[in-house]
Amino acid sequence: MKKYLALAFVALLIGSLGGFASVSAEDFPRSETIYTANSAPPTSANPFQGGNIIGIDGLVFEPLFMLNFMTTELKPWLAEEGKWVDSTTFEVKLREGTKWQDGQPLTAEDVKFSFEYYERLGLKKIEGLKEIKVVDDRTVQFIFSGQPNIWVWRSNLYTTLIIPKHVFENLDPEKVKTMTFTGDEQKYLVGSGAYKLKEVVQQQKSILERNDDWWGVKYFPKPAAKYIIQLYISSNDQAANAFLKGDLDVATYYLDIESLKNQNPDIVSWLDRPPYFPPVVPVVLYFNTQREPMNMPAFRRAIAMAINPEQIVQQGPISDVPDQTPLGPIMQGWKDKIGAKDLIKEYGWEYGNLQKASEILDQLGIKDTDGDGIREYNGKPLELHFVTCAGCSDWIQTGEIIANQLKPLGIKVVIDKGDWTNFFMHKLNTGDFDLALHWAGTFKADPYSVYHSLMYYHNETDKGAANFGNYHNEQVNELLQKLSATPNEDEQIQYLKELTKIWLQDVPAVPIYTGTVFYEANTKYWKNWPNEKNPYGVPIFWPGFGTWGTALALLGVQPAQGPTSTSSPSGSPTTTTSGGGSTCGPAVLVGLALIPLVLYRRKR
Amino acid sequence: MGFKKYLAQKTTVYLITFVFAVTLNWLLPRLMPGNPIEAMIESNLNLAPGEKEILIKFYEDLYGLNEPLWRQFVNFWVRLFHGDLGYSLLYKAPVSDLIRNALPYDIVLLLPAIALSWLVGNWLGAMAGKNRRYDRYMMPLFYFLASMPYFWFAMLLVYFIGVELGWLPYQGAYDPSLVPSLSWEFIKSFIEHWILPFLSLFVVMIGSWAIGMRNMIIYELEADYVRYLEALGASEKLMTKHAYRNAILPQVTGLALQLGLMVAGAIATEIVFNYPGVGVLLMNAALSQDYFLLQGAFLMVVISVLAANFIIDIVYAFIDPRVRSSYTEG
Repeated sequence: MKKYLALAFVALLIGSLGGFASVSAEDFPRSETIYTANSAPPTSANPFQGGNIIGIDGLVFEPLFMLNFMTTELKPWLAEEGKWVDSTTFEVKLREGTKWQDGQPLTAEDVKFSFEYYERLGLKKIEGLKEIKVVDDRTVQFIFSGQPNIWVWRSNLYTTLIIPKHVFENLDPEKVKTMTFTGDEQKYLVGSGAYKLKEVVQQQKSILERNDDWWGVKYFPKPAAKYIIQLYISSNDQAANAFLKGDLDVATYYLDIESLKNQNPDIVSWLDRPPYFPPVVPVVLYFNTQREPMNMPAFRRAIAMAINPEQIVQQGPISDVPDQTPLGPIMQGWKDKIGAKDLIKEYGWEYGNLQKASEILDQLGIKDTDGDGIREYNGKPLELHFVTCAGCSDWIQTGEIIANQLKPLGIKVVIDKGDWTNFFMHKLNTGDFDLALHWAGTFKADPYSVYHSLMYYHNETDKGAANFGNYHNEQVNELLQKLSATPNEDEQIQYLKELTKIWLQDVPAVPIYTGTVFYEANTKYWKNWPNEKNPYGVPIFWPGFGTWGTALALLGVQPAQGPTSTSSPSGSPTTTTSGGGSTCGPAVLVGLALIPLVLYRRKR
Repeated sequence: MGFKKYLAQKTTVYLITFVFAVTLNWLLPRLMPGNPIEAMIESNLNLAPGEKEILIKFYEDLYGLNEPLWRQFVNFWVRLFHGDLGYSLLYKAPVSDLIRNALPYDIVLLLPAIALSWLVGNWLGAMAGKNRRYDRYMMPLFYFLASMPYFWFAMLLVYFIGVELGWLPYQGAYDPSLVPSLSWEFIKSFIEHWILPFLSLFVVMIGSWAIGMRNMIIYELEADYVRYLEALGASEKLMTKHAYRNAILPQVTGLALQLGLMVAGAIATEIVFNYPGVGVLLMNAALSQDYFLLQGAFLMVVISVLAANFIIDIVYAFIDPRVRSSYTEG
């Protein structure tokens, strides 16, 4: 009986092995393969919505322009150039020689088809776009009926992937919405890019293979890696182990770079000083500007002055010190043009100046009348509620530091925590808070979008996506309106200057610290990862950021060694061994269980 | 005749249970507060002004979540009978594909772990129940094993055997540079990666099986029928045999339930070893309110638990003469 059981088990084991997709084993030479990873498994290669494979956007399918999010500049990609020929017509000229991976030429017809396809899917609605006109094989005109919002249009240039008309015109958009483009459907994944999707091992890894017939080699350097493999690593600990052992080349995980660097000097990030991670945009402290006394700009200014970001950066979350504008380090180019430094000097405040902050509150008549250390407003002690989400440990930490910094000013801050959707976002969206932190308004690819999302307000429903404090200023609305209509850079700078000035004077929100994205790369097999000094690509290795510049980064890396020396002796000392050792663990355990039995039998 | 009636009765009960359980599985995630689509869009960082509203409408249409609840319920049953489990909100892929691709890993891991630990645990437990001296030092060990959290033991294995000693690979189901296939290289790599997660489950499970068995054996050895046998001068072997047959019954039920729950995966083990299984899928689905994956996965759980129970009901008729007589006589 037992024999049969054992046999059955062995049979089951072997049988279930056979249950896996039977694909022939393949070798991916380590020196020709970039390993990256994501915390969600690869399940869908859908280029339109929710694909979770890095590089489907940007490496397989390409946009007209690539965005480099770290500099917020556009890089002409499939397009040679694009410009407003008059106030309602945007003309795009394609590069010479663009072609699809199946050999067909990529023409203006494909561009027109792609933009229309996104609208048919319901994924885009380009306001005011009247007609897409194919002028010739390489020229397309986008004709708007009224005055278009040039910044919204700018975002369409890098978020719209150009797809092959000859493949997709036969595909029903309704079906495409839920296709995964893996398995049998992979044949529709004909892009124009430097890589092809080779295979998706469902829920475990995806493999991109270089397209050696890429049109782009005429204009850009030839991509170095033959394969890009995306693994599924769900926890930070596992990612750290994989980096230490050199099994992972680049990824976006929350790891302790300093201690990783000590153990493995090959590991790099954006900066070579703390915080190491790339500082991107400021996290801002919102005021509910429809509540007293936060409706007074002077009061908001006093709080801004009492806050000390240096202390927050030292004791709080991984971050860098912000300036006073909501435009992050990624917009340094814009900030130089509008002279942000001078504006801050002239109209800004001074962080950490408690003395001055107290004076302002005294002048406003908000004083501590009963001597308990807390100022009274309208006869009641001034107590502000800082709302945050219970899982957001970095924000809770920051909130506690802010509470400590405002205490000497005579303001009590109470921290309220709850879950993200039903407590925190609900409170923000309904205006039921005094203070709150968020980055949603600053994580944008252009300064217009930052100011629009933070300061635009028409009414309760028509307002900036991140104007949680309901800041309202008609002058801002007008400036945004003008800014949205002009492609002229001098005028843009003028309007941005004025918006920045209003921001500094009115303090709708206070930049508290510059948030970072996570980024770590290993230089053992691949070098020239983008960093602060060479920001040619974006260090965000998440799906969906391909055309935001992840593709640029993956195309820009170079092999660390010549192709001949594949095995490097300088590797980490612990490598996985098999054979003799592998049976030890179970043998010891079985042995331990058997010893008492053996003894017991003998004694009887 | 009796057996047929017994079967029919059982089938009806199971069908009703099935409908009820599946309805609950459909309803409960939807009663959770919050809107998964808004949460999904809000976590999307790279949106242009005005894009949010377009996307919310797109996804509500796509998943039919803007329809009244009763309509969604009807759609759900209609699709279910067409074999369509829906399309995952979180993973953007058909639920049936997701489960089909993850389940083999769980079965390969959990089936041997549950079955072998059941055999070994019962054997050790029976041994402990019969022999006091052995019992005295084995029981603390059993309690220690049974109370040990899976993830804790798994982390110990990862750290000591995987990372420090480097004897065995510590993460994944096979080497990152391989693709599943029927080659020796893959099978070897797979088995190497399988050992640690298997051990982490197997060792911990032994404890609870052994405790259950030991207690049952002690109880049965004190029972009147054993005393009677003893008085008749029966051999110890015969008494043990009778006691064992009775003691094993609850253990069989336990085994069936464990095997039924197998399709829910082993969440802790999968997380620690980064093993691709249903457990992590399910956990993430619950966290992000992925209605479709949740109801699909729980459907599998309901079916397999019911199936396991059904089989046990039938098996009981063979291994327990009391059950057999109750329906043949009734």
